[in-house]
Amino acid sequence: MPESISTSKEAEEFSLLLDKLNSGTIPESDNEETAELLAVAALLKKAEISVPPPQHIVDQTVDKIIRAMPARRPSRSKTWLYSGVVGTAASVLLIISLNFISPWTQKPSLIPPPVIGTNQVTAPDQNAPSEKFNATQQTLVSQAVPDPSAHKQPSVIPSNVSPADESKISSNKEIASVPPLVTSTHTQLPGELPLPSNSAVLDHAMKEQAVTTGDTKPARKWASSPPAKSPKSIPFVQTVLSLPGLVPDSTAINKESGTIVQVYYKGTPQEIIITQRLLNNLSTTPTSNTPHQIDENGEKPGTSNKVTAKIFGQEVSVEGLQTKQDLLKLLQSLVP
Amino acid sequence: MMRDEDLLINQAQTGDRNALNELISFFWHSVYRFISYRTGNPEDAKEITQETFIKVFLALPNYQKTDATFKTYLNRIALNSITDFWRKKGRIPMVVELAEYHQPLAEADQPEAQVLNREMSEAIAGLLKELPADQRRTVELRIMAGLPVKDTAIAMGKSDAAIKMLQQRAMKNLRILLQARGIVENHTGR
Repeated sequence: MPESISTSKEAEEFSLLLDKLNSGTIPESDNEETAELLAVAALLKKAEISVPPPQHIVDQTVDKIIRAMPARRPSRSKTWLYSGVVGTAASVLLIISLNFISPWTQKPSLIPPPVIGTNQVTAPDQNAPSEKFNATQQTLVSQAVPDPSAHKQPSVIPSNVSPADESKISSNKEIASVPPLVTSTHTQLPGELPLPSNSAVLDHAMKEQAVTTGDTKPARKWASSPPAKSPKSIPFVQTVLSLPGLVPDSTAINKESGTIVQVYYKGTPQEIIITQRLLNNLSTTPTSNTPHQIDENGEKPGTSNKVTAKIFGQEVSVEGLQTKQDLLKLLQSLVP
Repeated sequence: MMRDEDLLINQAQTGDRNALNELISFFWHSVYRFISYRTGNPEDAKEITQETFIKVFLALPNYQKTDATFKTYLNRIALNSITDFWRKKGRIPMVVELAEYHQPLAEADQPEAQVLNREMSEAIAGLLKELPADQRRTVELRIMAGLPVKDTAIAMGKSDAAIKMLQQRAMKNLRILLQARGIVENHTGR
């Protein structure tokens, strides 16, 4: 039987001496018993018997190593690789899909495409412009509007389209997919609504809220729509649409009637009048029942033309001596 | 016995826990003892040993570019770690020669070492097996592995005081066994 340890003091001293031995020094003790035990311990160390370290120390070290080299782990690098490939593929798909989207959706103007109808107003002959004026008009339009040939917008129904064609267009899926679609066709005879000048139209628009409508179904929809609230109860929140890059010479806002009239190039042959009317007000304003004559020949040079559309819940019309196509371009280029 | 060293190193580079575990277990004792002799403090030795292994495995790509053996590479980084340790302490690092690595104790001061040979080591290993399990494990961790009392206590799930008692009892029992075999009789009879 081994000799029992007499005191814990001896054990403490022996432990301290063992620490010194472990650190490479050769400890000495005055206690003979302790010195003999140290000699045995030194003999064991000298034997160099390999002993594996405690598992908790190994685990601790392995944890530190793995924490220190996370970026070197294959799982992480694979994750980065996969995400990089997926990101690249997504980018390519995005670019390809953007190329297939209609140019209209890429326009910054954010104007909804449905242009509802085209009204052509024939002005008196005295306003007939010269050929030089037509060239000026063309320049103006080309500055303000991008080439519409690049934009396929079948939602525009020109006034010179026959009713049969018009119904075809109305049944077009593209048009059907667009919310509230109302088509009105109106051609004024020269003597029916005299327009002494474009400025006079401005005044006329402010006073008179009459909207000429044709016999198409959507127009009846307007007339048969439930009576709107009185103008006073309608909050006057209108989006002012303007031609990009141009400042109107005058802007008239009638809050009661919900009408905004802007005039560009006022008093010049290039004069453009943009009239916005809230549709709520339209339904309450008297409409003209005058039969309208459709100009089969399209626009006439020197006549005042008008293009009307429904944008942002408003009826927007662009009026001027420009050709109908040019007015359409201007209408499509309006930005809030 | 460790598996193929190169294979383990390659696996360790990928963060393979088992490979890291095996490599550290295999080299820990020699690295720890080498560092312990240079620092004189078991706790510092443990920290520096861990730091050495971290540096080694983080720099494994650099190791593969050289022709040095893994143990040489390990020793070189251990030396650098010791130097850093002394610099942090604001003291001049000890000049260490790698040649001393395999001779941690001064043989001239240890007469017992002169009689030790391979057979002797095997005999001592055999005697250790005759000790009670707790005492044997205490000797392995505390003396052979050179761990401090605290880590030995954690590894064995015992208190520090229990470890101190166990190590003393183990030495006394082993001394009796060694004397019975005539191994230490001539050298401890002072």
